[in-house]
Amino acid sequence: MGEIFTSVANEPLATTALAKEKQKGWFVDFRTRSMEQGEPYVIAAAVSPHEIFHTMDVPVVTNTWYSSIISAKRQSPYYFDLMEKLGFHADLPRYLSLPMMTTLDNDPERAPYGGLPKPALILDRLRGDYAQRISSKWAKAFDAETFFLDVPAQKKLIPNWWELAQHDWETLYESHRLDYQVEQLKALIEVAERTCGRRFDMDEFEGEMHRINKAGENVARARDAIASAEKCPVSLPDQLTNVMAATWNRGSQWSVDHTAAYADCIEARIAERQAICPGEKTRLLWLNTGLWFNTGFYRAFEESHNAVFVWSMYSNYFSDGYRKYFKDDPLRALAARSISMNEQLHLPPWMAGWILKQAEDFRASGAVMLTPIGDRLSSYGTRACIDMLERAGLPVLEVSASMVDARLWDNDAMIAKVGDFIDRRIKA
Amino acid sequence: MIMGNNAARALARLGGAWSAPDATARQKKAEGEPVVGFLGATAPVEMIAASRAYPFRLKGTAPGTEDLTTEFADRLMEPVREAYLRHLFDRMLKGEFQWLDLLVIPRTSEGLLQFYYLLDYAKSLEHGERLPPVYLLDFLQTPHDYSVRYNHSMLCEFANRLEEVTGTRPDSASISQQIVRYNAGRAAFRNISVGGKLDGVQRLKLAAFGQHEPIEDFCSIIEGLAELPPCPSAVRIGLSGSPHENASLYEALAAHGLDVAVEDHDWGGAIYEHDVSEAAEPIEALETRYRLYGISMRQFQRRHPELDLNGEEARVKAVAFYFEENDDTLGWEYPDERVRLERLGIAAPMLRGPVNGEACLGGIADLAARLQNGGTAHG
Ligand code: SF4
Ligand code: SF4
Repeated sequence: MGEIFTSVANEPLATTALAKEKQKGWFVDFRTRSMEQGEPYVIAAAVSPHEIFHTMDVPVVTNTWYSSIISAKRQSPYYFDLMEKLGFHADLPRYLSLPMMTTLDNDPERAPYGGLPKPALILDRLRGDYAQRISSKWAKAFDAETFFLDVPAQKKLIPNWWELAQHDWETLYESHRLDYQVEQLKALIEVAERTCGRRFDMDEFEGEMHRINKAGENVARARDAIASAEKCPVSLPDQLTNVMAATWNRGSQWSVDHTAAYADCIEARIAERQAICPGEKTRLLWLNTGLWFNTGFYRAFEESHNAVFVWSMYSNYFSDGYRKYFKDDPLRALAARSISMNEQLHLPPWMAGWILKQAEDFRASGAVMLTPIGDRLSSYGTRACIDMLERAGLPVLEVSASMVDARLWDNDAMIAKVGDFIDRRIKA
Repeated sequence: MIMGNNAARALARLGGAWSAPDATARQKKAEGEPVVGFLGATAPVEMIAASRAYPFRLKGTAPGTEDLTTEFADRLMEPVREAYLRHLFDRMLKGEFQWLDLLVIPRTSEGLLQFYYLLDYAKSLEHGERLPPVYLLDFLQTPHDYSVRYNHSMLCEFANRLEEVTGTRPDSASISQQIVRYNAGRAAFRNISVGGKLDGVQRLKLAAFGQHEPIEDFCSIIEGLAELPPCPSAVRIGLSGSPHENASLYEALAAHGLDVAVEDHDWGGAIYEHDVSEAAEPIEALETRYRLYGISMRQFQRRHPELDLNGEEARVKAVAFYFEENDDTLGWEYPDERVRLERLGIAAPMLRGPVNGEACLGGIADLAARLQNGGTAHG
């Protein structure tokens, strides 16, 4: 046995504070430029090509971000009531519609930060069937323009997508789909230039695309270090904060430098034999959506069970899914990045295949899958995925939670449930 | 008034097809005709027929089996998915549709696309051989010019696939012929559905008939039904929202004296509202028709539920909006539609599934009481 490990259970990585600061800085910038000075900005789906707007130096706000602010400020119950009063029935997904409710409500006193001002454009990707309906309605309330990115369907799900996704994406994503997507991106650029009043610079864009690949390499380095470490050196909440800040700021030099520092910190911890749970015996994966309102939950099984959540899709989707190496056509590379994002993360054979690869690399012996309550879209594929994982020998526990209403989360019951799962299905 | 022989025969044929929706398709298959099944209301049947296959739209539940279990399906399929797909998947896993030469799944809703991937996975498992061969028709409904071009090439690919299955290539001439043939059925349906001869339940059955029976039979039973006496007066309402492949909601409404005079779901009369152009190049004509008017979750423009199939006032007192459990899509338009309809003096109550649940039945009783007291929107 090697020497003893030092506990860093209560020490966040040094880069974590910097990532948080960056996000705060982003918000201050957005507030000054777009909310106060009226500069154009865009509301865009989380899984849409923000790169186009980054290139034009136009701020991008995601509806998920504003939704999480509304929840954090404990305003969601008010907007749920409003939805009901307006006649939206209770099964309609609320997570993505809360931001629209602040606009329909039109009460700047109540809405966080006085509500979002009119955007130059609302961009949505037609995943599922309701995006077009929410966005059209929202745009009408703002009197703003919309752009809908349609998504041709992937016909063949070639196994082990992550092996082709970075260099051989032309084969992986099917050329006819990429052709379509490139045409669509060109149309989007035209609309973006017109509505934002800025020019799109192809050279600047190409630089962005290279920097995203660089940052992705850093995230891969961090991920490999965590996977192969004898004991997990960094907590899942820390991984999330660092990688997500780099993802939202992708294309910037900051994200390249930040991810490098993040990987350095992790490697340093390993060299110094530091671990978040020196007694670690069990490694777990967190599947599907993140438990954003309670990231502390990921750490609740270290003391009681010596069990550590070492991975979630955010740990390395940036490195496996975002990196797209290209010779001379950065726009086609961008098309490849956004065309199958959800399929890779949520469609059973692809989702399950990737998870099994992580389980193997991270030496995980079980997984917990979160399926959002009452959300048809987010639950698609979860059963088949669990079926595949279990068949492959990875025990999976499914838990449900509301993404917007933290009050429905019974923490003690959930802790007992996961603890019981570890005792019965993993320690055995 | 006495019912003529033709009308009686038509009603009998209609009832027979309603209670055994796959009987004709099975018989065709037994006689050696290739049978191509499809889901939803956006698959171009003209193309299937032009390849000399028999087009046959599948239901999730067969009449009389509405409460069947989904235990086979449930292991792989989330309970929040569309009820008809859960039933269909369960029956497919039991081998009920193994005999199809091809099953076409258009990707005009997320539910159908996810269903395609699920079948693809299920094929690799035990009992996978019980599933029919499946084809994903990747047809888009966005109003972009590049979507039009994309759809065009997808329809050509579909023609190739059909040729592989049936040995007959659907060429321009044969597609044009089928367009004329199916348009005749659509016109006949529109005609009878505004003629006051059919009640809502009968019209729903007739609309379904056209989806799984031969188009000539469709036209000929419509001729027979035209001899029916006018149907007794009831309170006319429109129905919007989730699909109904069986008549339970229609019957629950009828039990309260409410007759569905028009509906916009994808098993109802609105399937026959729009013809395919006979003047345009045939693939182009199919592309336009199914992109704009293929009834689906992804359709961009939706019809006004208070108008009949000729675009005229259907003279309804109310439009009921029914949303099945876990609907995440159709309910978004409801608040605006309610305001718009109430301004026209038309009540617009919401009904929530399941059909025979307390909430839905209570909603129907309330609506009936309101309308029969002479009140409308603000009653
Ligand atoms: S086993 Fe317990 S004491 Fe040891 S490091 Fe983990 S949490 Fe700390
Ligand atoms: S659930 Fe997955 S795909 Fe959806 S927004 Fe979150 S990370 Fe992206």
